[in-house]
Amino acid sequence: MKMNKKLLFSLVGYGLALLTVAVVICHLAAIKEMDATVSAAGRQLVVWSGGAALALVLVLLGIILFLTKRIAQHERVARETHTMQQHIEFILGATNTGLDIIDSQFNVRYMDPAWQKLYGDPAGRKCYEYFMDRDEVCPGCGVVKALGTKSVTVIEEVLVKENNRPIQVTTIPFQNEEREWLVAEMKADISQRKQAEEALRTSKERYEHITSNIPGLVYQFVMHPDGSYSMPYASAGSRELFGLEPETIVRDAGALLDLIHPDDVEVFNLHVRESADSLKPWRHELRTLVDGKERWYQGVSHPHRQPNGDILWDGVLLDITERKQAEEELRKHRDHLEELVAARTSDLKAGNDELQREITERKRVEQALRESEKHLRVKLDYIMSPDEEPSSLSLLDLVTLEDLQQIQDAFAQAMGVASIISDVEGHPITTASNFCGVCEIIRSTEKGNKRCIRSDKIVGEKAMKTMRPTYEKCLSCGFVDASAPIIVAGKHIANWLIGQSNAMGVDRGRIEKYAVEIGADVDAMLAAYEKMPQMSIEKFEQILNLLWLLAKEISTLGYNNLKLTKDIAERKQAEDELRRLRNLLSNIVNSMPSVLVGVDLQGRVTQWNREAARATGIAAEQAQGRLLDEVFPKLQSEMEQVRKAIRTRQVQEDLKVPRRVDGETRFSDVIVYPLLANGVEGAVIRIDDVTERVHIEEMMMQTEKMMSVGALAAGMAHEINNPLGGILQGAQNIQRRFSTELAKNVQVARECGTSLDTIRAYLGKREIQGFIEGIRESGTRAARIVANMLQFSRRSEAQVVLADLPELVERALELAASDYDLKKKYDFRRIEIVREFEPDLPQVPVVVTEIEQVVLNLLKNAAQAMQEEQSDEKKPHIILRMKREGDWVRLVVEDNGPGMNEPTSKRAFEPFFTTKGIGVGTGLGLSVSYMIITNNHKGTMTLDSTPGKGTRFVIHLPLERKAL
Amino acid sequence: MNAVVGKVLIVDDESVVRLNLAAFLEDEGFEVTVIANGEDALKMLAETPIDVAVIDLRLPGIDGNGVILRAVEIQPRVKFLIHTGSVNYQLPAALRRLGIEDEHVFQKPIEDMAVIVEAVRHLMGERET
Repeated sequence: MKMNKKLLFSLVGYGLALLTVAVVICHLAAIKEMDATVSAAGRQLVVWSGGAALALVLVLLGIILFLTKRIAQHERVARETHTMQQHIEFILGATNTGLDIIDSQFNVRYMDPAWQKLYGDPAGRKCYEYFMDRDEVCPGCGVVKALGTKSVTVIEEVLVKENNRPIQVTTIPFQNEEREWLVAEMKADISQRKQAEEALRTSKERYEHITSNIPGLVYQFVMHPDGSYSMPYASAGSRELFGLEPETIVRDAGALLDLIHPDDVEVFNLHVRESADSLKPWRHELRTLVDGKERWYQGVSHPHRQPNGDILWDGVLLDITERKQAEEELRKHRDHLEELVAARTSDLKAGNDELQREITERKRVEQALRESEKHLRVKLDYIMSPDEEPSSLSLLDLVTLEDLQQIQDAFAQAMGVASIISDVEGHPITTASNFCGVCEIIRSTEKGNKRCIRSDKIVGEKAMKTMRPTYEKCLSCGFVDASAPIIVAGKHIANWLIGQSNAMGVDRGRIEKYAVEIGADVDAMLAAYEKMPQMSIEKFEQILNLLWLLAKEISTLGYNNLKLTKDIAERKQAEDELRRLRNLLSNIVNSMPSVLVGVDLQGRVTQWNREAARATGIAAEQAQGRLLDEVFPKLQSEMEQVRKAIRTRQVQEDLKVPRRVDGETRFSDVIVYPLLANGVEGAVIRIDDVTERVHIEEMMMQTEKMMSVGALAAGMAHEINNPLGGILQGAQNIQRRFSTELAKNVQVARECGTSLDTIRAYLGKREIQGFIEGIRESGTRAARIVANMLQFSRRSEAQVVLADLPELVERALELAASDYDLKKKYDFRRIEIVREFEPDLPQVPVVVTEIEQVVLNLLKNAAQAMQEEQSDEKKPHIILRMKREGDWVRLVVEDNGPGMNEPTSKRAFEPFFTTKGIGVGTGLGLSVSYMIITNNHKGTMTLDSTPGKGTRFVIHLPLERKAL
Repeated sequence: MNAVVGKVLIVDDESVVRLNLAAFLEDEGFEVTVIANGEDALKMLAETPIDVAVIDLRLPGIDGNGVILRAVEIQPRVKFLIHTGSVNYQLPAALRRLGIEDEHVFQKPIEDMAVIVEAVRHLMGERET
C-alpha cells in the first residue's frame, strides 16, 4: 500500500516534468517557425505564452520538489513505524504477550508474528474462532464490552489451544483514521501469578488445617513499645481451651489475659519482659481463674523483634490441668503417707528402724526418679531444640554414673594412676579413684580443692585444643597430669583425667611450701609424698594413649546413646503421625456416601466402610477377613471383575446394574479399582446408588422424544389438515346427499329415472353406508392424532391465569360424565368419585384448558381401565386428592382398577404407546398430559401402579408463575 | 328451503375444500360462489353483492387477511368467516377492528360442516338487524 503511493507520487512527478519539457520545446519550435511568417503582434503573443509556459514550469518544479520532500518524509515515517513495530513485536515476544487488533465484527485485523507462528494466519477468521475454537462470541467477551463502553476493560481467560494457559486480556478501544472503532488487545501470560495464588491458597489451607488440629491454642502475642499487649492471631483451639472465639481474642487480648490467675499476673508480666529483653524463648506455666476454678496451662513461644519496636511471639499454649492435678494428688498422697509414718514413728520409735529405712529408701528412689525425669527432660529439650546452649548436655545424660565409675576404677587400679572424670569446668563427675595421699590432703582444703579444679580445667582445655595425648604439670605441686576429652556430637562435655605422677621429679620443698600456702598439715603432706608411687614418663605416656582410646570409646557410647534417644523420639513421632493419618483416612473412607469394600485376591475383606456396614448390617470388625460372598452375597458376581481388575491393573466398571429392593428396582454403579500396595494384590469395590440419576435421565429422554414428535407434527399439520378436510367433508356430503330429508335428493333421483328409496336400498344391501361411516371415523381419528401431536409443540397464545383448581377438576368431571354418556361405552355413574380437597387451597397459575384436558384424560383412562375389569366384588372408585405442599400444589388421581405391570407403567408416558384396543385410543393421551404438566407448566408428573390394586397419578404444579 | 337464504362466497385454493363447502351450503339453500384466489374474488365483489365470505388464509397472491381488508372497502357490509389450516394463527388487530372475532375463525379440518352453516346463519342474522 505504502509502496504503491510512493510509486504513484514519482510517476506523477516524472510525468509532469516530461510534460513541461515538451511544452517548452514545442514553444521554442513554434517561435522559431513563426519568425518568418507571423506578424510582430503574433510573435508577441507567442513570446508571452512562452513566458507563461516558463512560469508554469517553475510552478510544476515547485510542486515536484514539494512532493519529493513529502515522499521522503513518508518513507522516513514508514521506516520509523516499521522499526517501532519491530521493537514492539520483539518486546511482546520476549514477555510472551500477545497483541492483536479486532474490529466490531470480531475480525482479527492484526496479530503479532510470535502468536501467528503458534495460531496461524488470522486472515478471514473471527477472534473467537481463531483464539478459542468457538463457533460464537465468547460469553463475557471483552471486545463487546470495550466497544460498548468505549473504555478499557480487563478480563481473565484461558487459552484452550494452549492447554488452558491463563491470560489477562486488556482490551483498549480506539478509532482509526477512518473513524472506525477498533480494539487493541494485550494478552499477558498470568500462569505464574495463578500458580502463586494457588500455592498461597493451598499453603493457607494447610496452615489452617494444622493449627485447627493441634491440641491447644496456637497464637501470636505482641508486646508494644508502650508495654501494652495484643494478640493478632489465635487458632480455633481457643474455643476448647478458654471458651473464647478466636476473633474475640484478636479483637481484645484482654479477654484472654484477664483470665490469668491474679496471683500469677505479676510473674507472667515479668517472664514476658524477660523474654522480650533477652529474645530467648518464653516457657511458662500459669494458671487461669474462671468462676473460682483454677486451670493450668503451659506455654512455649519464640520472640522476634519487629521493625516498629514490637516484640512478636509465635507460640503454643496447652492445657496441663490434668497433669498438674495428678501431680498434686501424688504429692498430697505422699505427704499424707509420710504424716502417718511420722506419727507412727514417734509412737514406735524404738521398734521402727526397718520402717525408717524403708522410707529413706523410698525417698531415694523418688529422688532418683525425679533426677532421671529431669535428665530425660534435658535430653529431650536438647534433641528437640538443637539451638540450646551446649552446656545443657551433660555426660550423665548419656552414660550412667555407675558405668563410668566402674570403668574409671578398673582403669586406675590396673594402670596404677589416679583418675577422675570432670566436667569441662573441672568439677568432678565421678568419685576419684586411686588418689595419692598428697592430693587427698590438698583436695580436703578449700583453697587446694579450688586450685585442683582449675588445674583440671586447664589440662582439659589444652588437650581439647591440641587433640593429642599430652601431659601438663599440675598447678598445685607440678605433678604430671593429663586429660582425654569426651566429645559427643561435636560438643566437648567432659574430661577424663589421670595424673598425680611424680614422673618429673617434684622436690619436697615445693610440697612443704604448698602445704603452708593452702593451710594443710605439712608433716602429713610430706609423709604422703614419701609414699607416692614412682613412674617413668614413658610408662605414663603409654597409659595416656590407652586413656585416649577409652575416652574415645566413651564418647562413641555417649553419641550412640544420644542417637538412640533421638531415634526413639523420632520413631514415636512417626508412629503418632501414622496413627493420625490412618485415623484421617478411615474418617474420609467412612464419610464417603459410597459403599467401599476392599478385598484381596482370595476375596477376603480387607476394608469395609461405614456405608458398607449400613448396606449389609454387618459391622466392619465382623466383616474383616471374611469371604466377600459370605458378608456381601450380592457382590459375589463381582469377584470375576475383581480378578480382572487385578490382572489387567485397570478399573472395571459395571454401570447401572439393576437390583430389586423392597419391590422396587434400584440401579447401582459398581466400579472395581485395582489396588497395589506393598506387593499385596487386591481391589476396592465401590458401589454408588444411581437410581435417581437413572430416573432423571429416563425422564429427560422421554421429554426429548416428545419434543421431537411435536416439532414433526407442527411441520406437517397444515399439510395433513387440508386433505383430512377433504375426506371428512366429502364423506359428510355423501351421507347427506343419500338422506331423504333433503328434498333436492328426492327430486334429483327422480330426474335420473330412479328413486331415492331404491338407491338407499342398494346402499343398504351393499353396506356402503358402513364404508362411508368408516371413512368419517378414520378421518376423525387422524385429525385427533394430529391435534394431539401439536400439543407437544408449545403454542404461544396459551393464556396463563390464576385458577381455582377444585373448580377446574369439577368441570373435568362433568366433561368426563357427558363424554361417557355420549359414547355409551362405559357408565361413568357406576364409578364412585371421592373428593379429598384441602380447604383454602391457593389459586394456581395454569392454562385452564390444558389442565382440564389432563384431568379429563386421567379420568377417562381410569374409567376405561376399570370398565375392562368389570367385577362384582370390587366397587370401582376414583379418588381425587388436592393439597398444598410448600410452593407446590399436589393433585392425585387414584383408581382401584387393574393397575399396570412394570413394563407398561415404565412406558406409559411414551408417545403412541397404548394398551387399549385398536381404534380406542391414540396412544398420545398420557404423553400429552405429561408434556402439558412438565414442559408447559414446569411441574412434575409421576405414576405409581400395582397390578391388581390400582394406579395413582401424582401431579405437582408450581404455585409460583415461573417462565410458563 | 327452496328460497335463496343468502349469498355466500368461498375463497380457497384447494378445490376439494371449495367443492365440499359449496355442496353443503347449497344443500342448506345458500347461493354459493367459489373462487380459487384473492384477486379474482375482489373482482367478483366489485360486481356482485355478497352476504358472507368464507376466506382461506393461505392463498396464492394476496393472502386471506389482505383479501378481507380490501373487500370491506368494496362492500362494507360483507361479513367474514376465516377458514385456516394454520395451527397457530393469530387474529390481526386490523381484522378485529372490523368486528371479526376468534369465534369467526375455523380450524381445518372441520369435522362437521353444520357448525359453519350455523356461523353463516348467525352472521346473516346480524346483517339484517
